Amino acid sequence: MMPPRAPSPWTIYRGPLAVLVLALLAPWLPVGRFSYLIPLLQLAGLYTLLAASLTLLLGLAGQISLGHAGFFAVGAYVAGVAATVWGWPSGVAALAAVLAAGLLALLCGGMILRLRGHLLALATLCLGIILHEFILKSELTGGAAGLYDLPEWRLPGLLGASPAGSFYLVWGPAVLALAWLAHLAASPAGRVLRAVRDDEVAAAALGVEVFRVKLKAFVASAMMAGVAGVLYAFVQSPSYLGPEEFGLNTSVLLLLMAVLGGLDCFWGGLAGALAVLALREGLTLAAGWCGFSGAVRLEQLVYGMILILLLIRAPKGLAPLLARLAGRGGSPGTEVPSGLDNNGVSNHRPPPA
Amino acid sequence: MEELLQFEAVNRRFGGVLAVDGVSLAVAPGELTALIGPNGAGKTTLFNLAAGALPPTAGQVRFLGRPVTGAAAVCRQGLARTFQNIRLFSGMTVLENLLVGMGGHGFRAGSLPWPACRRAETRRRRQAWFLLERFGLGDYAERPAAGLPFGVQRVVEIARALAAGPKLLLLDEPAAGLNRTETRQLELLLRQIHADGVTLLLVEHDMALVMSLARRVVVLDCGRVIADGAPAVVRRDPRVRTAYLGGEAQ
Amino acid sequence: MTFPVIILLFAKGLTVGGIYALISLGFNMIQRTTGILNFAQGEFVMVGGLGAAWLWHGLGLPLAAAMPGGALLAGLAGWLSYQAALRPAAGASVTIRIIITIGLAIVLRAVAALAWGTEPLHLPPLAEGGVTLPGGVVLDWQSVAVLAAVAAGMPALAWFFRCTAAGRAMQACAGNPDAARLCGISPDRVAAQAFAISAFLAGGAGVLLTPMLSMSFDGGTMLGLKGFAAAVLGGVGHPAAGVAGGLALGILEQHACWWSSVYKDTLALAAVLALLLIRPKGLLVR
Repeated sequence: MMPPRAPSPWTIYRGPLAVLVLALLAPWLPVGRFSYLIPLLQLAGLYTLLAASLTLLLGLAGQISLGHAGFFAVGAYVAGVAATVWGWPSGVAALAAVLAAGLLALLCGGMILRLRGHLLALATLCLGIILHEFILKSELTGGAAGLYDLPEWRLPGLLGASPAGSFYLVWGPAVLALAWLAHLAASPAGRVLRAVRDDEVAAAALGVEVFRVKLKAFVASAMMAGVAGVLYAFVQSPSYLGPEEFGLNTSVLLLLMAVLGGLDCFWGGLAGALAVLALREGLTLAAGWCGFSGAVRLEQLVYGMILILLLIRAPKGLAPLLARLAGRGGSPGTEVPSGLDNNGVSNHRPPPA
Repeated sequence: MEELLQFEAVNRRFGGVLAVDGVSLAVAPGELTALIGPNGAGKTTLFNLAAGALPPTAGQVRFLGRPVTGAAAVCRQGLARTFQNIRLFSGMTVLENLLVGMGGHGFRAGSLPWPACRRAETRRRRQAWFLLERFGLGDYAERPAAGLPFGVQRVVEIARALAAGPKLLLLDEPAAGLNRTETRQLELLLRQIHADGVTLLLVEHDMALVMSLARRVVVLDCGRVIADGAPAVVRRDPRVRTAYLGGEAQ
Repeated sequence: MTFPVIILLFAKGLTVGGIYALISLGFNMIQRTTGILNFAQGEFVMVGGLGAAWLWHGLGLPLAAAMPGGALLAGLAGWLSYQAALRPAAGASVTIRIIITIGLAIVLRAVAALAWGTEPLHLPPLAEGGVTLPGGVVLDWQSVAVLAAVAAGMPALAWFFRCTAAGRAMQACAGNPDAARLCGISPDRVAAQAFAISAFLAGGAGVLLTPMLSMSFDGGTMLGLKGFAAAVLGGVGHPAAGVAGGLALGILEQHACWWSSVYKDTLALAAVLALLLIRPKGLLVR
């Protein structure tokens, strides 16, 4: 008998490849009256990148972060401030921003990753809020008024003038992130992450440097969020960068997207981002048709109720559900089973006292 | 000849309780030693000290002559262990469980798709699978570790520890929860592992297994070593009888 | 810092901290019984406050009826929330159920805005004047009421957990739901009770808070977070520790406010973070 084979590159990367093809085609679709769909999908790409960073941290490594909007903010604001206030070229500013996010994660992670469970949740929550408060109140970042006229990135030439000009700039990194997650899921590094997630003590007993692994995951996740921040500053919203997008609500939203989409699949973040955005837009549209335009509160109510319903119906997330519906449930390389037993009850061991 | 594992006047205190009291013990390469004693004698604490999961309050624990600093470090030097309550990685398959201990997971090495990594990974998979086959677990390779029968999980945990290529294997009550047939199979398995050159140290309550398998028995009571020698000798030792039975016994 | 200022800061800190303590008690109860971090805890506070304000202002009920009415309304909201949103997901992982409470918070905020509008509502204080403390500082009766509520609430809860069947059932479920089931306890019913009581406590906090700071439909979020911080800071698993955490947080906040009113939240949270790192098991846990 032959040993079971590792998943082939095709199995691993066909998912991200499919996403790439769709992302390449999307701006050229004949949407006619619905021309706002393209910018919306672009926003979805940004959120996919962010949610993917949480899939890495929470889904693979099992570390919770309730303040991930903080690293998003660091990416956006370091890039923004460096480019406008200090006059750095945007490329250098972008690099500095991503490195800053990573450095912050290294310093903070070094201190807080020794905490677990609720303590870690609280620590990351505090971190996120502190960062948000800082950008809200500091003069350097423009405070509540924000920053204006950041350099805008677009693809060069003819492509730059088309709707794809900024679309590809956002979805490129998003697809790369998904591809990397897909690779990790099937790789030894991903295995070690999952081991740390499932049982730190057993992992340590097998030679895994648990703390270092957690720290690396934290830094990588933060840098991904930092890249998203740079893209937000220079591609998504270069005319105005304000603190509204970087608060607790965003951190919670990202968590929602990651979990709703499915922590088990590399493309869970994508599913979650699309679901949440589709829900929000769909409700606004529906409200308009029914003559309830402006009924923001009613939309919020229905939005919350549908979210709860989706979470109840799809306890492992939307991505595994969709994969099952498509008849492709559980192909190796796409699904990374999380530490849930058949009843969906977590059997993560609590750390020894 | 260098001792594999050494306890040098080791104390371990938990608040007011002295779980391990001045234990000095050495395990030489090639031994097959059982650590027995009544409940609360300090056996698991001693294990945790050896495996680097706990630091000693006093004294020194050495593996291959070097002080034991932490679980991961001592594992890389050649010590592996199993747990009393099986601690398999529930989110992974059996094969993946074994692969965790086999290295190649430096973040840089494993996190980007270099071709050399793929070759190393294929090699590791083959090694792990052959190990599973030797233990009769080949069919379970791709099954999730979580839903397996208890006896199978036990063997998987032992295989996982072995996959790390240890010189010394610590087994914490490997026969707990196994029926007689499974215990017999476990005994054969452990003999096989020992014959392959792995030194074994096990904590065990199943006296039949201990007497049949072990070449050396160390008896612990109230954190102290009260007997240490061949099984037949130890079983006749009156101090051992007192410790277990609490009084004069035949 | 002069003596009256110190007294004032401590007095205000204990008051605000008392509110956080009440919220943390409820938070702790849900977390221990079900393992869920209730992201909607702050919304129960809000429902209590707004509900009481509506009963008093909209329906014209006397204050003595409106106040417990608000808390009861919150308790009802808690029980309903469990039945509608969490019980159907009983088999799902803890992570999913925690995220469901996020959805719950959204729903509760929307319902409150629809029912009671988006303007802040207020309640009149219990009584005018207050207690004079050393240093000439006056602690108003509302603050005294908060402290009294915390002081009464703790032994009441302790009695509940130790002497009532429901309380003991809750402790059993917190320790080992499967074993509890074997004893004939229904973890499901216990969880519903935990939600109801926690929401009642939170609502009570809201009722006591509203006369001091008024309440609007989105005022609950920050309060819930601070209740969470208080619970974790004190050491999860110890209701008394949560109270200590809440009081500590309140005092920290007021002192931070003294140093810089702009950065007060930042400083307070930085202090929380520092405390977490120094005493990761919690303030009271040894």
